[in-house]
Amino acid sequence: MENKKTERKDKTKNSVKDFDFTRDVAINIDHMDLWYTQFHAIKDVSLEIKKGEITAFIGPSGCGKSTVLKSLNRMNDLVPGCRITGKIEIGGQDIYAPGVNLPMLRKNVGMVFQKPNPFPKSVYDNIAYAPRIFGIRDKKTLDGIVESSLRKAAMWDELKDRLNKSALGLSGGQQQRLCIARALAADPAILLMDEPTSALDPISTGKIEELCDELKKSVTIVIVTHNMQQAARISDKTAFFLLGEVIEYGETQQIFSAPVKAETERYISGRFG
Amino acid sequence: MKKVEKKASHNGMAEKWVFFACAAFSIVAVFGIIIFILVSSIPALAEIGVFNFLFGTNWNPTNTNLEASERFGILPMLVGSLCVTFGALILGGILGVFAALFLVYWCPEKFKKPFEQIINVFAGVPSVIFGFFGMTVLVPALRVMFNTDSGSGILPSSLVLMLMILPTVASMSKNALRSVPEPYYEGALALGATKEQAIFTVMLPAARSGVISGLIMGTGRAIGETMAVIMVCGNSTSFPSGLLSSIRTLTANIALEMSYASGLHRNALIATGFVLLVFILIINLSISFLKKDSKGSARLRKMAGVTDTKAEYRQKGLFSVIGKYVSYVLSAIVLISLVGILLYVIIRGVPNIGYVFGIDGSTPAIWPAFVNTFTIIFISLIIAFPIGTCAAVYLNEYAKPGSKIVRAIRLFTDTLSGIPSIIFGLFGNILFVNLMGLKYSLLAGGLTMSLMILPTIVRSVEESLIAIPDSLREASLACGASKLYTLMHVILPQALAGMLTAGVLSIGRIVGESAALLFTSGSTRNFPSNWLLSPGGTFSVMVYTFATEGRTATDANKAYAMAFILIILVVAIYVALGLIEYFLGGERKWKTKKPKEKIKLKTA
Repeated sequence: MENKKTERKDKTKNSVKDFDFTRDVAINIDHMDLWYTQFHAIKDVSLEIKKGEITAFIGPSGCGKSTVLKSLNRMNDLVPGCRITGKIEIGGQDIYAPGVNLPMLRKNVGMVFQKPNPFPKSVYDNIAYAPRIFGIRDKKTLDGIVESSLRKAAMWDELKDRLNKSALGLSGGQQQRLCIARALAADPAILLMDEPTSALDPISTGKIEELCDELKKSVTIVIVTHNMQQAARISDKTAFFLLGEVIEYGETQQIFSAPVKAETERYISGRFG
Repeated sequence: MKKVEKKASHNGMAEKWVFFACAAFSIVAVFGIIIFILVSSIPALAEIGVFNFLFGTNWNPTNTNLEASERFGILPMLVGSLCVTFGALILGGILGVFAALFLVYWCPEKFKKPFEQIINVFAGVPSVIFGFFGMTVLVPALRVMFNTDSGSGILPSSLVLMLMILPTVASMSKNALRSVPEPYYEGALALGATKEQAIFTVMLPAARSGVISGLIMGTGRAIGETMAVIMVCGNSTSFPSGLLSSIRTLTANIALEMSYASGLHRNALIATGFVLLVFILIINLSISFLKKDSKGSARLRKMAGVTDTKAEYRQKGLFSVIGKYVSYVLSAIVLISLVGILLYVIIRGVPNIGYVFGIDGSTPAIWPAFVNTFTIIFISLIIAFPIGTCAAVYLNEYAKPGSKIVRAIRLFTDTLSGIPSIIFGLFGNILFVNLMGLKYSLLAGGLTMSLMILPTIVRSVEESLIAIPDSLREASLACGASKLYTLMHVILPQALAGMLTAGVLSIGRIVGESAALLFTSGSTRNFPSNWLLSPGGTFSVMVYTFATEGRTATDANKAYAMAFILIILVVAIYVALGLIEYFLGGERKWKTKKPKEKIKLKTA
């Protein structure tokens, strides 16, 4: 019911300019609680994510890190029975307030999924998807966006001669980087990555990690990962989740070298999880 | 010890060949049909000339003053068939695809099942019912609406065929849409697409090949339909000169004149059937090519080479929202017209039901229809069921999966199922009625129908065999059982649901059939006097004859009543299918992973 109401209001408000991504704080999660019907999945989580940084969410399976990630672009709305309280601010906007423009939110907060999900279209049409959805029809502009997105994802030289080939013919690692390029084509300020390398081989994983490092110049990245070395390698901040709570959040270096909490220490030293 | 082994393997070979022979039967059948029809058309084609036959504009078979080359031109019928099919495809295609979109994405959860069931029931409604409805409602309505003398022609034919192909298109599109992976949907939403945009820009294109197969199958059904079209097209052999000018299709041409044609005329009609068969084979082959190659590739354009562009991202999506409402409206139209037909037949049928029981003093028509229908069902099942089951066993248990011969058998089985019933009727008429000298008889009808239901049986049994996990076979073999023993005592009992389903589906097909039976078992309304060798009309055939040959009001009433009984039979068959599924669990019981029933797409 609630969803329907917000959807109707969505059309009245075109809030592209309402997001302010010049602020220092890109994402502010304030006392967030989340339930899946009866199950209390997220308990009182508060996090402040800085602009231009890579923040890693780590923790054992089922600890709620992906759930929090998916709340940031409201993909959790797709799950029946999901209920959220508390406040999540992105670019200064409360994204769960009534009247939020969901398409615009998701354009600004891109997402890369665990399993690569390129559309069964050509490479070009995959990248051009978001621009086209948002009304860009001019061929030259689209070409420009496609090329620059592929360059940002360091794939231009690899793919420039196969733009018309089906994206499903690419390798798993290429597909995932294509999905990153596709998200970048929407010109997002924030990029959410949900275990983007868990289905990939080490070489592809390495490429994506390099890419993250390059991308943080222009977008804020939040990455969920099972791989603790990965978190240590690429992130600036790390949040450790356990049973729906944030146990510890701070500089990555500090978390991995001198964790404050005993649970964090036990987890990163591999004693459980 | 060695001896025993040898013996076992030898026996295994023998049964394998029996199963193989059954499986290869559909190849034989398809070739048999093509060859018999071709051979019977050759005298006509030779005398008339292929060019004169195909492009002649004059069909005047009984005027012996003219040369043969001037009497038999099928061009008007060819054009008529194409126009009618094209109209049906456009109308039925649009309605079917949008109804499928509605059903999968926007239909409220509690209406999904009923809507789906209505569409499924209509897939089984005999074509004579649609034709009869068109004749008694549509044609008079069009006559009044457009204020002309003739309400028949392309428009009512296309409308009736639209209703007939709609369930095919809708249910194939629905299946295709449901099998699109959900990550596509999530991916589109995560990029900022609205639900409607995601559906029209990602989901529908991803389901394209399934939707197109549905459209092609619908085309095959439309171009091959006979009885429904005969009742509404007007049947004059002139070129279509408007949407409501009387025309004739290829199928109607055969069915209308076959009963009295002889000599060259008869051969010319069979040649008409051959032309139709060629069309159908092209359509069928295009489906199998489509299955092979579904990925098209766009041309590589030269990129502009501008990388620094300022683009403005604005929210769009009006068209997809319009598409959503179009799908609401069209689904409502589909629902209303389908339910409307059903209600109409019931309302007109119930008060007249007494007529078929002989209330007016005539011989009751229902009992002979009953006996004839069930005799034909019995004959065809007893022939086709063992052959079809053995074929399915060969394909799934004995053949090397994916081998050339398996693919060939599948292709020919599919082809056989796509051949229109009028062609089966012609084939039965040539082979059983004339060559084998069975005359118009229940036996000839039953033999013809056994060919028609064969693909259904093969498919349905095969599907339930595929669903049985290999571990079961291995368990039995590991106990030392032979392959045949495993098959008889372990595998086939598990495939019971599939076999029953095959039987019930076949019965449905036979009950609804009329075009193939008209020239094989005839249309008499008496009890069979000479048992299997006497002619006799089934329910569907009687609906057709009462509706078209009847001169009196009583006959019209009898047609309504017969149509009503036919509807009851169809619903009963549908209920029987539901019960089999419910009690025996169909294939579902073996699926380890629960199949994704519905994609839950919530508004987001």
